Parts: sequence; C-alpha cells; structure tokens
Amino acid sequence: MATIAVVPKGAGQATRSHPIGDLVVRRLAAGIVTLVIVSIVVFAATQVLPGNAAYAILGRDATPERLHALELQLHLDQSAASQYFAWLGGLLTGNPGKSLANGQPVWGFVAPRLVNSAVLVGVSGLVGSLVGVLIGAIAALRKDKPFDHAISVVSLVVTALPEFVIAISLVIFFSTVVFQVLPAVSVLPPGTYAWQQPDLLVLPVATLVIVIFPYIFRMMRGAMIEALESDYVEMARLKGLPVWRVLLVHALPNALPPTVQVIGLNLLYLAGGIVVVEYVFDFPGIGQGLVSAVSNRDIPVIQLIVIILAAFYVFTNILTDVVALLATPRRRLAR
Amino acid sequence: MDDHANNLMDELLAGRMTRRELIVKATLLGLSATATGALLAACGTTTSQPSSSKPKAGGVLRAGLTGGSSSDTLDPHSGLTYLDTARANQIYQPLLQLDASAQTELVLAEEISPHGSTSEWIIRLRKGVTWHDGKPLTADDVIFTFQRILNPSAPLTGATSLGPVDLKGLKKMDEVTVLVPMTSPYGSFIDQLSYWYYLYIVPVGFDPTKPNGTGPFKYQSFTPGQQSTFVKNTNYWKPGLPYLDSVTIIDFADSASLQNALVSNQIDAAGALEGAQLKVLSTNSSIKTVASNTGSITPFTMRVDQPPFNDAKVRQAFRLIVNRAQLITAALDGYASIGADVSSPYDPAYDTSLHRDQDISQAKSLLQSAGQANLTVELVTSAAATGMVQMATVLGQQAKQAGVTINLKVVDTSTFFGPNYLNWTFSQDFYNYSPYLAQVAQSLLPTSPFNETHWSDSNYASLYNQANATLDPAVRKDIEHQMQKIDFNQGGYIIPCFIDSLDAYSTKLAGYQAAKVGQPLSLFDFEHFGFT
Repeated sequence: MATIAVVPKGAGQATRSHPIGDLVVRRLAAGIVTLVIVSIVVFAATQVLPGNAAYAILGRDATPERLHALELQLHLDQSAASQYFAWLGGLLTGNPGKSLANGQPVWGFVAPRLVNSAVLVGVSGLVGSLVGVLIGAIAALRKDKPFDHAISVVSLVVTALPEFVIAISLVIFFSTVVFQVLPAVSVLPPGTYAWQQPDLLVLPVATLVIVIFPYIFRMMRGAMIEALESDYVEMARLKGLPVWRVLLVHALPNALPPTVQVIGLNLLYLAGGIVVVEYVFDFPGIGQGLVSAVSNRDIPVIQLIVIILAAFYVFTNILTDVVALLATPRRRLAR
Repeated sequence: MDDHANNLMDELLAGRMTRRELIVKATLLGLSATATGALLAACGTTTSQPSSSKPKAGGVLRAGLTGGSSSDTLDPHSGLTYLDTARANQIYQPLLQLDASAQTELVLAEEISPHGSTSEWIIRLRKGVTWHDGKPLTADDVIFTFQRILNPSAPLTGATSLGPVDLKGLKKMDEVTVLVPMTSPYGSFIDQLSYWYYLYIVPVGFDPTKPNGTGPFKYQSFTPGQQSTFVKNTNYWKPGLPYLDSVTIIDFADSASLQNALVSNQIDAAGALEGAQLKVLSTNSSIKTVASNTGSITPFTMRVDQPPFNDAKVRQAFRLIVNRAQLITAALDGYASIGADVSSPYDPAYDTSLHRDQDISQAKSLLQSAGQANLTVELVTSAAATGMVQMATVLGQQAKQAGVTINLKVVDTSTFFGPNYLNWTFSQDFYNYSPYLAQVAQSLLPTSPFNETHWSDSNYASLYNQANATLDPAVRKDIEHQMQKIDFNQGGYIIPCFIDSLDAYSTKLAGYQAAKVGQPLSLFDFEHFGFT
C-alpha cells in the first residue's frame, strides 16, 4: 500500500458551527489547487521523456521529412508553455483536445474506458468491502479460534503478493493450466461495456478483491474486537440482549468509522491498482489507456487520465472523511 | 522447377487454385523467369508444410498480435507494426509479394518486365480484378499509388523501394499496362517490390478513412489499439476464396496475455510469440505451434565512421567473438539458424560459401594490432524485437573471453527509435527477409533510410549500380557475390543468426503454413485460412 498519500485530518478539528460544511469547502479548495499542480507536474514530466509523440508514432520510420511534417501537424513545434495553456484552456471549456496518436478526440478515447474502469473499481470496491467487513466481524467473534487464525494468516500472505502475481496465479488456475472455465483476457469488442460481458469481469474483479480484502478485513477485525471488549457491549450482553442485536446495534456502528477510512484508502489504491490489472487482462479501461498513451507520448490523453485519477483521489478523500465524521456522533456536532 | 510444379499441383489438388489459374501461374513463372532471372528462384526447394486438413467455408477468425497502440493505422502506406500489416493485407493487395518460401509471387500484376533496358519497365495488371466499390482495377490506380507513395513533399515508407521511378514519366499504355521509366538503371525493381507491405495498390482518389481495396476481405470496423473486423469480399477475384466469413484482428498489450487468450480459446491464432511460449504451447493438445525458419535478421550495428569501429580489424574481431550456436540456444531458445554476417539467405544470389566461427585468439590478436586490447564499449539495446535484449546480453558475456567489456544500455522502444536512432555507435536493429539488393537499398547505401552503420563505400555503391544495370542474371549474381564478400570482410553488421517466426493456432484452424519472410501468421494470408 504505497498509495496512502493524503492523511485525513479534517475530523475533529472543526471549531465553527457547521464542521462538515466547513471541511468540505476547505478541502475542495485545496483539492483544486492540488489538481492544477498535478497537471503542471505531469506536463513537465512528459516534456522530460526522450523523444516526442512524432517520434513515438513514426517509430522506426521517423525520417526527417515525415518527422517535420508530423511535428507541424501536432503543433509540437510550439513552446511547452503555450502547449500547456492551450490544453488547460481547452479542458476548462470542455474540450480536452485531440489525441496526438490518431487525431481522434481525447474524450471519445477516454469516456468508454472511464466507464469500464468505474465498473471495475466499483464492483471490486463493493465486493471487497462487504467480504472484508463480514469476514472481519466473524473473525472478531471467533477470536483466537481456528477460523480466525487461518483467515489472518491467509490475509497476511496475500498482503505480501503484488497484484500481478495474484492476477497471473488466477489466470493459471482458472483459465489456462489447471481449469479452463474463465476467460484469461478481458478483450471487449469496441462499443460494448464491461457489464455486457460479466464473465470478462470475474478475474479482474477477483484480483482486486483479493488485493484490498486483507486491509479491510484486518481493520474490521481489530475494531470489532475492541468494540466487543468495551464496557457498553459487556453491559448490553449482561442486559440479556440477543447476540445479533449486540453485534449489529452496539458493536458494529462503533467498529465502522476506522473501517470506512480504510475502505476509502483502498478505493484510492484501486484507482492506481487498475493500471497493472488492466494491463495483465488487456481490459480496456483508463489504466490500459494510460500505459498506451505513455508509450505513445500522447500528452493530451496522459493529462486527461491523470487529472481524472487525481480528481478521484481528492474527492474520495473528502468523501471518506465526511462519512467517517457522520459515523462518529460525538465529532459531527460543533463543540 | 519440379518442386514448384509439385507445389502448384498440390494447390490444385487442395482446391486452392483452379486448373485455369494453374496454367496462368505456370506460364507467368516462365515468362518472368526469362525476363529478369529473379523468378528463377522459384525453382528453389520449399520446406514449408501446408496444414493437412482442408478448410470449410464460413467461420470467424480471431487473430491476436502484440505491438499495437492508439497510433494504429489503416493507411496501407503508413503501417509500422505487424498489426498494421495484418489489417492492410486483408483489404489491399500489392503488385507482387514474397510467397511462403520467400520467392516472388505475382499478385495484382500479371507481368513485370524490363522494356529494352533496366531503365524502363512494363507493369501489366491482371484483368477482371475489381475494387470493393465495384470499379475495375486499372493502370491509373497503379500510377496514383506510385504518386501517393513518392509524394516529394512527404515520401512514405515504400518510397525507398520505388527508388528511381520517374514520376513524371509514368505512362498508361492501355487500361491494364503502365510504362515505368527510371531515372537510373533499376534491374532489381522486382526484388525491391518485395517490400510489398509498404506498396499496396490503392484506387485513384484514395481516402484512407474509406478503405477500398481489392483484397479478400472488406473493411467493417477499426478501433486503434483494440481490434478491427473485416468481412468476406464476395466478389473476390480468386474463385472459391476466402473461406472465412470474417476476420477480427485483436491488439494485445503483451505476449503473455496473447498466449493466455489462445489457451482459453478467446482467439484462434497468435502471432509473433517468444521461444519459451512456443515450448509451453506445444504441449497443449488443442494448439498447433508453427516455428518458421525465416531470413529475418536482428543485426548488431557498428558505426564504421566512429571509433572504435572505424577500424575494420575491430569489426572483424567483434564478429569473431560471437559463438553463434550458443547465442541461438541461450538468447532465442534455439529458434534460429546460424548466419554469417550477410543478409538474405533465400536470395538465389546468396553466397552459401560464407561461414564464420567463433575464434577468440584471432579476435584478440586483431584487437591487439588495432591497439584496442581490453576495449570497453556501450551497446544500446531495447525490447524492440523478439530476443533483442537477450542477444545483446549473451554477446556481452561472450565478449569477456576476448577481454572486451560490453556495457549494456537498455532503453525503452520510444527512446530507441527516438532522435538517436541510426546514430548509436553500437546498437541493434531488425529486418524481415528481403532479397539481397533490396536489403542493401534499405540499409547499406549512403542514401539508404536505415543506414545504422553509416556504411559508405564508393566501390560497394558502384557495384550496386552495376548490378542494377545488367539484364544478365549470371553477371548480376557475380556482382552480388562481390558485394557480399565486402560485407563479410569489412561490413558493420554482425548477423549471428536468422530468427524463426513463431506462431500458434487452434487445432480447429487450417490453411496456414510456415513462411520464410518473417511476417507472422503465414504472412497474414487469411484468405487461405478456414476452420475444419
């Protein structure tokens, strides 16, 4: 988990009357500044890469005449600053420009991929969270029993594996060597979306679920154990409340806030993690689009995808803070 | 001629050719052979094995390849990758191409012959060929295609092969005949046209966004970096072909997912695989692997105008350092055949007497006398072609025996082909097979577009011109042998081996064969593919 870049810190610091509204406003402002900085940094990085889009497109056939003609066509002869501001102006007016690789509008390239990736992240995040919370709660209930030990060891082992190892292991097991029951690659015909062929989603989703599950599981288990050992739960039990009521009404709500934070961090991770997983499965999402755009030096596409990913980071951070705050009654009111 | 006649007979028996076509083809072979000598090569033996079962009509072929991106193109003259060629080859057709045994095969042309001297040529087209929009193929289309490729302000890749074609002098003799004058003698015209995948014929007024060709399949859809679909051309000029209803060509990001897609039956054919993958796939009973011996080369390129390689002794020493058999085993999983630093092994003019073994003591003494003992050099490599980095690594190990230190600089392909491409002092490159004089035109003349070694030898260039000036095949062959001697003794290439092309198919598929040119998947000849 190298993606924990933004430490949530808004919770509990509010002093005025509407702590949540205040937090959202401050965070949004900071988020927009972050996005501008990201766009500048990424643009600068693409300028440092050796060669440009014209070289990348022509490859071996980059004769001086063809190179010059293409550079003029792509406006690569203009200064870096004017290229950047032309791009920024276009983005703000809803026109992110045309791909340097094939002259097609960038949005037409990114939009269907964005939908596919959103489906992948959404389904993986949902399944991973549900499974993690559920198994975490069960493990907490059976603390130090065989089930708890087994699942804890498995989750530790999985944590140590990079996502491409998990992806390739799944392919070997379910698609190629052992069984051949699931498609090994997720090649979608252009014009179709991921949900239209759910079988193609199984392995990429399974990979991502396996990657995020341990973190959510471990946090849920820890928080739940803490809650179950608290005085109020003991009190509830002594009162003779049924177990399900103790669990759902008393323990769970108090175990959730830290788990929500971890789920948020895992969603952030997913936004980056799809790059590797989409590449392995040839899944037509923005991750695969980003890899292809980088090798083509296709700056408008790189810029748009990075901005989308960065915006996702910023807003998911704000969202998890708000949810965590709402789930913590003593902190959601002004003091 | 016997083997080739047998081949034609096989095709006839297999139903891939009508009796009429057989006669036409045989006659043509005779004609062209007497005309230029280049086609004499067709008498050579062929070891390619057509797959045994006969395809049925119908079905959808799903073929996968790596190397595509959003800069994929459908423009038949701007293609760069195997994927670009695979697509173009379904829609468009050239005047001639190399067949599976790397010999000239006429396609849209019925005859290409010199008109009196090698400075003037006649191209006569096959009659009865129509474009996908229904119009007939005519001489005007050939003239238009040549003008498009040779466009003086932005010449396209095929321009090198058309060489001295005199654009202004192109003349339509009748509906199907073009007179092609040259600004200088061009006896190797037919050999040069064997870069057919840069030279597809397009109709007058061609618009690449509205693909219109004469090929076996018609354009249906194309999404750069993802996939493209082509449907059967029901008016195709070859009777009974193609078998398939449609062809879908799919881009893969890397060769592992390509391999997996074949195993899990998501595609029917996977092209340009790696040696280790082929070994794994060959154990799978529902997959047939095909390793084609080819004339493809991945030469190490030494710049002859820069130290230390400006001394021929150093170049010869480096060539003697290579243990070719070991390099093939270690870097290419054994999928290659030994080379001797000269290209084009299937050219009838290839000098088969050339041979070079590892000789470390000789290499050391050459380096010593050049004052370059204990030399250290940098070798720039990239995963731009199969086995490239591995070959560089093995060479680095072997060089240690001669006291030479080779430091590898591995760069990504965009950097490799970036501004420094063709300027690295010591690097690599790759080529599919082409006849010898065509390879020379690409990379060994001062005017060549890919002269990585900066080879510029006036005697050599003058021999090239002499070879182009003669109509006598025997004289020409003798000149080519002299040029190959120069390559062998002084050249800037190390060509340790000719690299196999590795493909794998579903066992349900038939109609493919091993092919010597280096283009994968039976030269993308999908018109002969079909399901059994």
